[in-house]
Amino acid sequence: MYPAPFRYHRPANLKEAILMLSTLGETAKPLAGGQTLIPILKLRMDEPTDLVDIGRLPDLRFAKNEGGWVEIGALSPHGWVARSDIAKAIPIVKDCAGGIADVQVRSRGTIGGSVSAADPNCDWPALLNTLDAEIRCAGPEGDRTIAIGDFITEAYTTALQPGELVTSIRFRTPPPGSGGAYIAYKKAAAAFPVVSVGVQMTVAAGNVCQDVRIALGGSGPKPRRAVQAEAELRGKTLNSQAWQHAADAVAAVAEPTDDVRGSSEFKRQLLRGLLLKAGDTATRRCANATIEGSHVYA
Amino acid sequence: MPDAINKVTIDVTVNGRKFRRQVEPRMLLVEFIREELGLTGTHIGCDTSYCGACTVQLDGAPVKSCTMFAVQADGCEVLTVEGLEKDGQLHPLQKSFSEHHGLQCGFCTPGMLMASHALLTDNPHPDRHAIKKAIAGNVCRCTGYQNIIKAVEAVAAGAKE
Amino acid sequence: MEMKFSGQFEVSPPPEKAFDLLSDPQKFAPLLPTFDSLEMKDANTAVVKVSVGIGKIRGTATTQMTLKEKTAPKHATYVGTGKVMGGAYTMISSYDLEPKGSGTLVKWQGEVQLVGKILSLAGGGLRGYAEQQIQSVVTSLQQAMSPEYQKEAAARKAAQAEKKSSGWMSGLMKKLRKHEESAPAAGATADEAVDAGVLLAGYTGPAMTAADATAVVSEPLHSFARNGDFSAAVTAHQGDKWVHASLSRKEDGRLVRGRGLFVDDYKVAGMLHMGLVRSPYGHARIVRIDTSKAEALPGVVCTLTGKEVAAVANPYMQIGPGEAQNIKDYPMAVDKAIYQGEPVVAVVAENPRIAADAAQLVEVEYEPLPAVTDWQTALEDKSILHPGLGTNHHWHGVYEYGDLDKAFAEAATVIKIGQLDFHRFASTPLETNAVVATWTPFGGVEFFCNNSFPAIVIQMIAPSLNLSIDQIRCKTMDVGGSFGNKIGNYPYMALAALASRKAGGRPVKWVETRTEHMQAGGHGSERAYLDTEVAVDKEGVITAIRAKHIDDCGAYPRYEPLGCVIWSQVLPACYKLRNIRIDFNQVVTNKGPSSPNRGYSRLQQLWFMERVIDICAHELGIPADEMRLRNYIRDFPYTTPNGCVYDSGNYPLLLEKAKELIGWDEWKQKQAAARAEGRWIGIGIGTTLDSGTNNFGQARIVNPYLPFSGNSEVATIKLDLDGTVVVMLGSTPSGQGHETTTAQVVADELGIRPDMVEVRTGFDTTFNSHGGHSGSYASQFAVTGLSAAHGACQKLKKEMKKLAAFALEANEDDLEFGIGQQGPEVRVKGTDRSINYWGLSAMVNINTAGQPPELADVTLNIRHVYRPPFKIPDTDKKFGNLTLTYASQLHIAVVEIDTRTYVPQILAYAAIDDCGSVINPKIVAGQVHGATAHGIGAAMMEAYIYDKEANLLTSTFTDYTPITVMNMPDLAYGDIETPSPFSYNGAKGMGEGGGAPLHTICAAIQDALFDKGVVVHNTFNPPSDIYRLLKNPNRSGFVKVERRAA
Repeated sequence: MYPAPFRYHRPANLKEAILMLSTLGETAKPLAGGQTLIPILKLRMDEPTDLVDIGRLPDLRFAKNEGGWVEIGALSPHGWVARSDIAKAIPIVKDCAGGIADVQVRSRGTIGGSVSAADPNCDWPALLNTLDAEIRCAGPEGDRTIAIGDFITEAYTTALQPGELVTSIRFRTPPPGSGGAYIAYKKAAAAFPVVSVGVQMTVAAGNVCQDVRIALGGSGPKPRRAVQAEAELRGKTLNSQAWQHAADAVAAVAEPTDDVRGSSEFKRQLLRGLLLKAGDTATRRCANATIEGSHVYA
Repeated sequence: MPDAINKVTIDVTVNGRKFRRQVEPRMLLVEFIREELGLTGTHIGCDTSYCGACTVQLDGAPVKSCTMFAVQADGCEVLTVEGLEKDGQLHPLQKSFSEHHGLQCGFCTPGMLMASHALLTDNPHPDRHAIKKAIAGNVCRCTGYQNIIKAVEAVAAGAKE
Repeated sequence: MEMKFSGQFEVSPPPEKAFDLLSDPQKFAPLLPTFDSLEMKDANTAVVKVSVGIGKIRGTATTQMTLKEKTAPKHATYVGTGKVMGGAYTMISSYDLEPKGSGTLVKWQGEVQLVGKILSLAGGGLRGYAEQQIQSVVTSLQQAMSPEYQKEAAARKAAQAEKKSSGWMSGLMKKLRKHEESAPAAGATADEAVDAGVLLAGYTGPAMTAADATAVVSEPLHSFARNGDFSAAVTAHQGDKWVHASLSRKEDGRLVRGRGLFVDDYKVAGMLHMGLVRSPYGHARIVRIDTSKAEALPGVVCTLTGKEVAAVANPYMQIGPGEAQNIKDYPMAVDKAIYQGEPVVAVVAENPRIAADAAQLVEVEYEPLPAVTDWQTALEDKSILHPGLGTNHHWHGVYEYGDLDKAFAEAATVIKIGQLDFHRFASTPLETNAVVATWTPFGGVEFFCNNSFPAIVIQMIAPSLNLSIDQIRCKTMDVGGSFGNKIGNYPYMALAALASRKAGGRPVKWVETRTEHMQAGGHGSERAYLDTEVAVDKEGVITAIRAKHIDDCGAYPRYEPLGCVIWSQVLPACYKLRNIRIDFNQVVTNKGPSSPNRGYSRLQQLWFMERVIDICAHELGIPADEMRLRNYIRDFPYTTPNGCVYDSGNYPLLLEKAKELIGWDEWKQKQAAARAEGRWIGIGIGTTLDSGTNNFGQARIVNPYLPFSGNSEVATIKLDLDGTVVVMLGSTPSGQGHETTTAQVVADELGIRPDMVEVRTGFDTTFNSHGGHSGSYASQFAVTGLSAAHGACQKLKKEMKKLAAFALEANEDDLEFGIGQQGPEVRVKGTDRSINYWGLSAMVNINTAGQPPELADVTLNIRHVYRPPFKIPDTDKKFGNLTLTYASQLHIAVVEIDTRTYVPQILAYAAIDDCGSVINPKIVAGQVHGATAHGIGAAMMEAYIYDKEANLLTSTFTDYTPITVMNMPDLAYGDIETPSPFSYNGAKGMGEGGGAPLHTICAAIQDALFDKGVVVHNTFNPPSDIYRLLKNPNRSGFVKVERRAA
């Protein structure tokens, strides 16, 4: 399996990268960690004329929690994020970053690359929806910040303009009493998630759900917020009935496709089950329990 | 296809030795290791980054060398299975794989060794779950993974003493 | 994959105007989403380029779009065909216009047919994408037809242009796009001073110096002591008997160092690389092939088409009887391709990258034919794969034993079971198929390959290439797993040979990609079981079974229809019933050709029998363990109704041990408690057989004219010039440790240590250590290979004694073998008089004068052919002993199905093996682990899934998902030994394993869900299928129980 020939560029800085990509046009592709792009090139599913290697750009690997925002640099590899203090403080980030594919892919694949790929089944897009993240970009027209809901416009499609690159991702630091969980169902580590559920919530005294966000992966062309499911929980006392209602709402809003991994109907049931699992873990984490997350492999 | 392809000169340290080579940008790291350097212990088992037979370490981190271009390894240190043996002494993992029958056909073995070596470097006392996670991206078609886990556990237990 | 869409919309212009736009390809095509460019072929046909991005696939698709029907101003139909990366498509879109008010109502319909590996990769995303694209066409149409929109669009475009020009880099970009390389204009910013040529030329890194270019290319090879690690393992062993010692393997030394020699590691000077163009269609006529662009690519040496192959080669021998002999199987498609992934053109180039580039430049025009993807459609014979065969029904035969009518008449209960299905999967060895072939100047061919049954393969290839067998040199070294699959890679060996011939005798390497392997590298056969009826007596003992079985072997039979008889080696499985009637059939379909796959054909039968046992047990309310105990065969040797002789075994003991190992009673309690909580936990048992050492005479049952029978394996042993004991084998081990176990056997025979025995790796026709059955397949090495090695030892010892008796002036009877001061020796018992191996060898090879004539025939170079004592089966009655040994296994699994996600999880797993006398316990346990993983993978994760157009939907590892460590439970392993009376060492062949996990997991899932009305009827049970079973419980209607009056 050999990629078709391409020209290789190694910009010295972000500006140069943007300049190269804008000028070379759509047949040029940015290469970050390459964990999405290279398999595509090897299968010759894409044949860009030019690759602009942004993997070496300085200052884009960072994770910080400042001024009420958590911000992660676009070139931060998944594995690196999973070991960061951010992941320690916010377990749902560890669930996601530490559960993407396998350790080898996590060494190379980056959060910026993953969110730019906008795969409807992949982990970061679903997680970033759960956290109501913003995507910060730099391009020929300057810098801008796009809400995740607007950033991913369709399956595999983003609001990025030619030459525009993701520079970082940020979301509000969860308030005290918060907890979350992200669980995907996949056949094996290196296989794509079939469906996934992210739950991030804040629980007040008396087990009352103060705030909650739920997002689903593999449930449509782009990650899907389960707004109704959130409404079933927000402001209510968390009990199994509330969760059952939320699970019903999750199953109702999801539109997974029929494929070799199962029927749409089955996947909706699976999402239901995953929500209950994730909800359970998230609730316990709100109460500061330490629980190692794990996806469902089978 | 672009009309002219630039070749790229890269400097890569492999198993402690420095190599400077001029490569086509599309050359994968695994091809560089196998074809340019003649180190054929690193294997290719799939096209889609699933099997891990090509696992090497890049600056200490396990990577799938079939899902990286050689140009991306420019300036980096690569460790392959051939670099595990030191001064004629097999690495304890290599010995343990043999002792516990953690290999049969041997095709996945270099990748398994490099993935578990990276784990033990990072965490000398992994539990069974951590071992499984560390080799979750490596396929073995022969052993059912049982003896591979035992082999890594044995080295981890030895490290505790 | 077929997708249909339809809808309607209204536009303001009248039908005539709307039709004008619709019926002109030049106006219509640019409305396609992501339209790139257009070129008119004729008035009605446009060649349109669009950018596509489906799933992980992005690129340009070229569509030839023809206006096929045109009835102004009412109707227009476009037919488009095209290629996207990894696939091809046909689309039909039609538009019906009718007046509505002053405007038009447009009713549209779209139909898309898609083929190729694209489907596997993009998975379920395709439908959504297609919908999106079609919606976008409809929107553009709607908009293009309304004048208001056009005005709006113009305004929007202007606004966008305005906005774009305000960016901070826009000035510079414009310049760069125009390739203005002149000095920056006055007032340019520093940014704009960038040299465009330099910026966009690409990165090159530092200049290579002459010294760099000539630097040492390769890491120096650290040599290691040949048997260093093995010697350490041998030294650590307590005792002086080696058979049955749990030794670490001799092979490991090179393999843990990454110093194995697999085919892709092998390089020869001048070596070329072959790439293959493969059919994206499951069934299509090849209309035209144009290789000119590929041949023009620098670095391409030649191309080869099916027609060229057919002109110089003969089709392969067919095993099937009658019309099946007329099947034309060449290594490449000639007139039509009959499965997705069938090779159509070979491209030979200087390196594999160029070969891949060139393969893309080959143009092939196909005419799609109706695809046959299941046995039902196959038997309809509406679309025939092989014109010579004239039907898709490749084989039929009835296996009937005992008195069925009487047994059913006397039954206390008759249980009728609905259709059971054994799905398509394979062991997918981690090293793919590969070969280096060299056409020699003397008109022969040399293969360095990884075929696992080379002895039969050279007999297939030689007549195909018009060669005699001695003109073929075939060699294997380290093989990265085979599991039977690699028996089927000979078409590629022949293809590489022909490519080498066309390339003037330069060596040609071919290494299969994983995707190629999944499509075409050998699948295990599917089997359907129909009309199953079981007669049971009042004690719950099964007395008779009748059923109809249909095997689907894919596009080319190749090793088939041997699978149509091989299953009957285990006809009654482990059970004592005497009345059996199986109407056995095999069909060909447009799917990847099958090849033997671990447990080949027997596991299908064993799964069927185990399913029958469990279904009957559940229906009769007899516990699964009890049901088995009532039905097990207990006395050995046991002759089955079809004349097979089960050598030994103790199935009740296996059950007892397995129960002990897993903690049966405890699990039963836990299960009861869990059920009370509403959890779904099941405990399943699978008893299975691993029949080893085939009697090839069984081939005559599928075709009486075949000249095969019996079996043979060869070993040579010699004392080399320096006295080293060198053993060569005919086997092709791929992890089974033949070097080690052979060394153990020889060491015991010669009274030396295993590290003193050099066992050569692999098969090599120049070793002269092969016969017509040599290879590694069908669980036989412990019997055939080791018997050959043992026999060779006996002959060698005889010669050594003869020499030693002369040299030591002693009686042969007074001599013994052992290790002395100077290594391995023969000595006079109870004395210090001895001669070492060097001395013995010297008498034959170096220091030969002065010997008596009676030593003249001593060579110290022995070739022994082991031939098991088989008879030719009775082909009319389908009766005879088909296999020499019957290893057995019993597995127990506890499976919990999550009530919320339907995901099954194995909570506990135990496997007990009985392969008679064990040669190396470590190796045996390893084989059981591996076979267990394959079975669990197949039962829960792995399936070759085709759509009805014969697209393989699981053509990469990422889609097929071979089992990983995350999916494996911890296995508890144990064994018993019932020595075989039929092998010299009491050993039975083992390794294939008999698919016990398939039986066991199906049984456990059924046990968990039987109360819910679920009967497990398929080998493949992923969560989605378990969900479906639970939503539509099948028990009523699927199983019918007729109780007869006593």
